[in-house]
Amino acid sequence: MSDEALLLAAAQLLGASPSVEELATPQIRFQQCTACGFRRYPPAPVCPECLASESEWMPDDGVGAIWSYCVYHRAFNPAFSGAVPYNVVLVELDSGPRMISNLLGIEPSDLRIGLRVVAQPREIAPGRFLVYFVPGASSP
Amino acid sequence: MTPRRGELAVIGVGSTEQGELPGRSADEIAVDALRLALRDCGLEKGDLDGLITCKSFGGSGIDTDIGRMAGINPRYSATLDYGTCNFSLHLAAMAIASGMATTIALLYGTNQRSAGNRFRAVAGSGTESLGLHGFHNIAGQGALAFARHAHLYGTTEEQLGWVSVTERAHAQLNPAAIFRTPLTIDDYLAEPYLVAPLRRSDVCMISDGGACLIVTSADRVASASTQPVYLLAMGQATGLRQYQNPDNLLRPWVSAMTTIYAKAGLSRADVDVLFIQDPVSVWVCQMLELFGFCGPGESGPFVQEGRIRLGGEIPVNTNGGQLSESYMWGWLHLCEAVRQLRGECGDRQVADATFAQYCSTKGFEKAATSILGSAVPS
Repeated sequence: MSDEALLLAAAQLLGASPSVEELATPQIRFQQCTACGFRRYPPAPVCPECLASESEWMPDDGVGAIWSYCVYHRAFNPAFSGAVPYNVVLVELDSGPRMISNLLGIEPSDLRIGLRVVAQPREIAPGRFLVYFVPGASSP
Repeated sequence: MTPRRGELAVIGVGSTEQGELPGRSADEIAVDALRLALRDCGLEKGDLDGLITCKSFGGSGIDTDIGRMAGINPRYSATLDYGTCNFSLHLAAMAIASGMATTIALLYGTNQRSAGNRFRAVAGSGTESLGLHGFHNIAGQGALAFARHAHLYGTTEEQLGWVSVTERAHAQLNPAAIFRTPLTIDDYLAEPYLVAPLRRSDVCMISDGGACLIVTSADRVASASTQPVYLLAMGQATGLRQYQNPDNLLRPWVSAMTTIYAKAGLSRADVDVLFIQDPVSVWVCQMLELFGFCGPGESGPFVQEGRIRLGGEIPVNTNGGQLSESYMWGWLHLCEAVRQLRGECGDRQVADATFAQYCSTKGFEKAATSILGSAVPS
């Protein structure tokens, strides 16, 4: 897998996507409920815990562990045909959110469930950042 | 209002040719299935006072469109936005129990293969970033779920392969199945990965087709020419919080539905034939464990040892499942359950099948199960 090919594929698909606040900064951040403190993911207009609507975007340390991973050998969307084989991981962040992403800088044979990872937002288009992960965070 | 055990019966089933039906709209195919189901039970369309349709790929399958095409004015009609037939059956049971209708056609038609649905959809919902990370096709969720199961319990790819191999063996006995060429475990293991650790045979193929069931209240079954198959119990559960639920890809909330056996007046061991909606083979393993046919983590050895084969402890998906018969959102599983309980399944008939269970899911958000019987336990 080429990490650059994955970023290019995301950039290609991003063209058709509306701008979302999720992608607006070079740091990982979540909406934090002003009423109860719950960190929302995916982004939502209402807190799924206490149903309050107010929230503010708060930076997160982006540290977590791989819950599971898979490796795509086929590009179901043609944008990814230059990226196969590429991994998709489900990361459980220590702060709560569970995110689907890609783990960069790793060979498929080194992927492990439970591997400690840390978020690394990458600029896939001018001013648009997507959250990827890289190995290496220490245990909590 | 709770429908009583056996208060409702399936009296008619119809299923069209499956595979590629070019030039036909999804609604035409659904009405084809309706015609077949009416013929099956000897009713006229004017005997229907209820219609429950299933919205299909591209937005087809709306009750108002299908009713016009079929030329009927039922008292009650509705459209469900998701398939698997279980949800439609349960809505019909509630409509009949509450007096909204007495005889209801449940139907589904799709032309998604001919219409070019190629399973490129993003795997899940809630954030557009899923697609930006290349998380497409339900095989992605299946692969994550299986890799986690393998990590927790040591389940092997070969063990998983026995799901697809077993269903193919069943499909070879089903003349209506799309995939009937032999599939051995060596063939399976030789397949390239699709989304590792899953291979091509772990995932169903998009297909065209239609299916219809006609249900009525138990006091009206004499109006049909067929042997009634009774709904003994039904259950639903949801995980609508999705990824906010721990381990949601393993669907732990499904196990709340094990109360269905007591509701049906049975024990799990009384189930003679089991149907599991299977767009991905992994779901078969999940449901075997969640409903307690084997212990947590034991589904790998369970399928490898042949316990889900015809002649095994609990035959599963005798029609070949979605993996080998046809991808019909599980509707054909319920058709097959009815045919098994009527004893119409020829070479793949489960001897003396009296009770059948069908387990289905809608993504990682909803699940449902039904138990049907050719007899009603007292």
